Amino acid sequence: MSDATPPVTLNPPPEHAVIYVGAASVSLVIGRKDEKGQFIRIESLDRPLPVARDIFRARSISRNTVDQAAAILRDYLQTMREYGIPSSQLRLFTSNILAEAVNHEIFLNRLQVHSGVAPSLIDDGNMTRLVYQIAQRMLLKNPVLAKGNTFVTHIGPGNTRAIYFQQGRLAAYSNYRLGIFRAREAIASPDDEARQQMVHLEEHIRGVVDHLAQDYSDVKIDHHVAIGAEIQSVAPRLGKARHGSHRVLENDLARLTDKLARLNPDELVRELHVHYTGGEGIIPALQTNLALARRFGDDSLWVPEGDFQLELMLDLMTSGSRTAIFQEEVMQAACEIGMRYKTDRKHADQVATFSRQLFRELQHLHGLDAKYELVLRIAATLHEVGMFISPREHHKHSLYILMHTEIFGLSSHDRVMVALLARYHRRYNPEPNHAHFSDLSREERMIVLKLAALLRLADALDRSHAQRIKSFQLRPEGTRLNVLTQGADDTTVEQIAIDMKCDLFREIYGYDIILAKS
Amino acid sequence: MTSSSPNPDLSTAPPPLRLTEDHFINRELSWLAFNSRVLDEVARADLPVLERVKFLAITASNLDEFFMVRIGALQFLREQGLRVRDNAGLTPTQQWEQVHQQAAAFVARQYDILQQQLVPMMKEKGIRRLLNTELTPAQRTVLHEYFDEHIFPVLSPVVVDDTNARAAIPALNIILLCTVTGGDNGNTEKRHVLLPLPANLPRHVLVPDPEGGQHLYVNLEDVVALFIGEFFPAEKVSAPARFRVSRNTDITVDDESAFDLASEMEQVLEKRLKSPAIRIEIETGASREHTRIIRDLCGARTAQIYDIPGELDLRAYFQIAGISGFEELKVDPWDSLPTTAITPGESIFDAIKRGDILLHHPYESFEPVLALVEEAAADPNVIAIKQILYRTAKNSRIISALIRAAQAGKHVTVLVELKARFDEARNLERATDLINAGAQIIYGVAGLKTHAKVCLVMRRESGHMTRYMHFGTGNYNEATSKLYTDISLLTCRADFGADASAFFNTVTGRSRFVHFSKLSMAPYGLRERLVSMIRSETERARQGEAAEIMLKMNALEDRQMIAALYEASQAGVKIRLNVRGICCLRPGIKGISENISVISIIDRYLEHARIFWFRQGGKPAVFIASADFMNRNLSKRVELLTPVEDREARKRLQHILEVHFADTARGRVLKADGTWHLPHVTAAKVRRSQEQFAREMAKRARQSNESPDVLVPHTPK
Repeated sequence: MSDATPPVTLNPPPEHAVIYVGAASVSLVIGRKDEKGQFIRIESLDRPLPVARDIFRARSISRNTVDQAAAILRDYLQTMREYGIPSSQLRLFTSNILAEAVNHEIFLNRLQVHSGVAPSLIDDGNMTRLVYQIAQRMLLKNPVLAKGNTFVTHIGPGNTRAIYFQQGRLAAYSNYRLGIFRAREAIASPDDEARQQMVHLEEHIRGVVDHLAQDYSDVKIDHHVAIGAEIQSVAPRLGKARHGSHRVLENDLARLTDKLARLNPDELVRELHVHYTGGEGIIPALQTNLALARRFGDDSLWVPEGDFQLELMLDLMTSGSRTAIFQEEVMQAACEIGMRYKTDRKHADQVATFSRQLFRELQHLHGLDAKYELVLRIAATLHEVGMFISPREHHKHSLYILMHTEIFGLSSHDRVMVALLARYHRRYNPEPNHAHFSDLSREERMIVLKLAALLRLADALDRSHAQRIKSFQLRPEGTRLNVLTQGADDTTVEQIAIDMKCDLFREIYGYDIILAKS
Repeated sequence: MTSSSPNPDLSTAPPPLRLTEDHFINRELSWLAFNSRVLDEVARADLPVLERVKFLAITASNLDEFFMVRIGALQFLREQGLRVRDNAGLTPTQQWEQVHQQAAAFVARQYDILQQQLVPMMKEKGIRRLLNTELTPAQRTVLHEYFDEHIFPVLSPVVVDDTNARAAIPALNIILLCTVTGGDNGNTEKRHVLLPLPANLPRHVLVPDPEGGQHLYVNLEDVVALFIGEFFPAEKVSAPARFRVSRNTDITVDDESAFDLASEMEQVLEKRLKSPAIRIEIETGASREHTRIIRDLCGARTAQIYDIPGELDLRAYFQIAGISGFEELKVDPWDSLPTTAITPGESIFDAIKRGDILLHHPYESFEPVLALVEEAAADPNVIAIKQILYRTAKNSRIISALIRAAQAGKHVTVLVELKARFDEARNLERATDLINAGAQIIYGVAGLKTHAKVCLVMRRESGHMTRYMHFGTGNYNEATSKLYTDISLLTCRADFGADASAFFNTVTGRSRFVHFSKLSMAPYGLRERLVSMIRSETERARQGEAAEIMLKMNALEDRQMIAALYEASQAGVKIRLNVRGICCLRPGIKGISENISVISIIDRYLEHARIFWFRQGGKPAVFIASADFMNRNLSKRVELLTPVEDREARKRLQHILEVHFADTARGRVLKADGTWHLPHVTAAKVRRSQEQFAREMAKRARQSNESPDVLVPHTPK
């Protein structure tokens, strides 16, 4: 029946699909929006695929794994056809550990050929956002965690992240190169006894655990939350959930980890109802959580209720939409970076505020997705970080710094956008041979141009860095866009800046900008 | 595990119970006890004679299967010298000996009832088997013609000395053995010849009744014996011996009839190409020489030979039980009524959307289940149908509807279980039709038999995908749905739908097993959920709460489940079990199982529903399932456990259980010594559950008909 057309599908169905090629499996989730506009799962499928094992063992994905992935995709597309979901409503993501495979381009191409959809690497930014959201939901449900100083760790397949909350607000964030499969493959030896393997693993992770502990040695930690697919899957065995979370005693976790480590792969698969490839990650994940708990002297860990993988997939389905609180947390994290590079905070804030207003009021002109508002605001906040090195060509220093600074909650792709906006916030226009800009697709380059034009205007409106213009209104008139300002009697400086920098705006949007007093 | 399930790890359970051999009843002996309870129905003077004859045929059919599967396995273990003891502490040899002893006594009772009671009663009413000595010349002439036309061309005699003679002994067929000597040429050489009766000819050959109004027949083996000389013209033929052989590989491993094999046996048996005889039945009167020849030919020991005091293969009485024209000798039929949950003429989808529909078959018709698939096949909004087929009826309406659906371009996925005994050929044939129509067919799951009864219909409604499901305890078989008591649940609950989709994704290999939110699936957690439900009641009892369990199933054999029930009983949980067939649990043991009572109901319909009820502190959790409490169901089959969430449906299931437990007419109670007894009650208090359900359903249907709020117009087709 594979080619039969579903009988009634004049309109696209309300269901959307996400396929995620993870570290140990390929998952498909079909979901639709509920009354609240949240995606809910209708159907989910999962098949094992040893991606992480291949990558951390041989640095490339084996032929067999590539073929298996293609076969799985075929089956998943059949399920999609049953719903009549067109490929335009499918999103395909892969774990970011794929980037470490030398042949990842070939693998991604196979995925694209079979699915008809270009796969995107899910990166640290997406993952951080998800971990943040899960943590936030936990804090909302559990007042004890929300009121205290809560330390959240997430151990992923290749990386570990730590988020520190004070009274429910983000206070610190960091990311480490320590992951379940990375660790497992580093120490895996078929000859080792279970106990020996555990000892090896403990030694392997000690350095990173110490590093992490050092980073948070000067903060007070009341509660430790452990997030992750593996720990969440075993937590129900260690206690009932209350207020959306399980309280897992360190002793119990140690006992369970020890018990599971003694099982052979067959027994483990039967005991936990996991697949073989996924089963490989269980012990390293539990042991790393245990090592962290011990290093911080916790007698218990809080573990969120629910299925980590499913939440990740539903999050990916939402096109990575961010809640207002999350956006503010990201802005806060960006401000802290700005402070680190000693930027003019007031100017940065003003440009960010103006940028947001321009983005919103000119939406009909640029037609960009709401997520770019955040990208623009962050770029506005950080556009002058390059001044830290030198005012001369500071836009180029900004580019360099931002390309190498992780910004909480931003994907690496979004970070490139931010860096390029900072690069082009002055009067120099992008050229096709410019580094990083040339790597973008035509659509992405267009987005950079549109946003850079807005950023330049916002920056020009505070040319004096003195916040002379307090606010403005936009009044389009023919080919002119009148910017009616309030607060400054004389806006000559700003008009000169506009004349110098806003040729791009004219080119992109077709308007001359004229400043006038309100 | 679902979030609503209690967490067994939290319990403050004492150390596990130490179980000994005395705590279990041997499953083979328990099965024989079950067949004896069926035989009790044959002995019931208050039943019409043809109903008794039907039960007689059932006991015979049951016993055949039992020998082929269970005794075959036991014999194999015994021959291999394996001394693995069962839960009751018996070695294969001990079991084999006890089974043979009891089976012999059973057969003696069968024939005693047949010959002393049924045959005279039938004769009095005009149903009569004529022996060759009783035939009139006219009747002989008719039979001669029948022999020449139908028997002679297809019956092939085989000489015993022939090297192929052993292969000429088909299992379960009646075979005649005669000795041929002499001839015109003075040849005195003696030959022994086998004449296997053709399996496709009816066992009973009707002969004209000179007086009219009687049902007179002659057994096929008698007709052959009468004209046996025609095969050997001019030779002398001895009176033939009649015998029948049961083997252990003639059938695959089955489940429905409550048989199973030890795990180590299944593969071994399936691999064996040529299997030895398990049981030889020889009709009384065979010469010693013939008996010896038969025994040698079959490679059997004397202990395996049963001397049958009358005609062989009583399964033929199924034909007699169903003959037309003798309605006064049969029971009054109970109607299979339409459910009141569906307004006549209403779409099944609209009815299900209004609320869950629970059906109690056969008191309530199977029609809504068929309607779900048939309407789905014709409905343009239906996108996909997924279905498990285990044992389907001849000319199955379900399969026809699935074929139509596939032809109409819907996504049809059907898992056809080929391991369903006796039905392989039929299933395969229809599977080909389904493939040709464009359906995706899966022939079962490697290593596991798919026994779950579930159908999923995906229908787009106002843009949204709505999933309609049928969960059942019985097969999608419109014929057996009229004879077996089963439960159907029709629902469109979204979370059940997600689980049903996940179930099909798992069995079709499209996904690994992902956790369900409502259903439980064997072998991935169904057992664990049942154990946790039992332990939850146990824990409640320990904490002084009222705790109670009511379970209805076909067989209870699994050691872990029995242990969990014993622990619950020890903690003070009141446990009532309704087990139709095998029950290895021993109730009433002091300190172990005194809070457990077991009842078995054998009546007109075959009790087949699996219903599990747990008190849960006054908010009962009720489930229906495809699985029994048997190791093979819980560990080696794909099964489904479905919670029933609709309040009315839960109440109905509780009522069904209560009525069964109160059955004093057909309910036998299991004693601690392993024997079953009818409860002692005064005549006024006698209650018969199946009759009560039939009455209740008729009353509901009447009430519904008396005040119909929807008029059904006749419209042109």
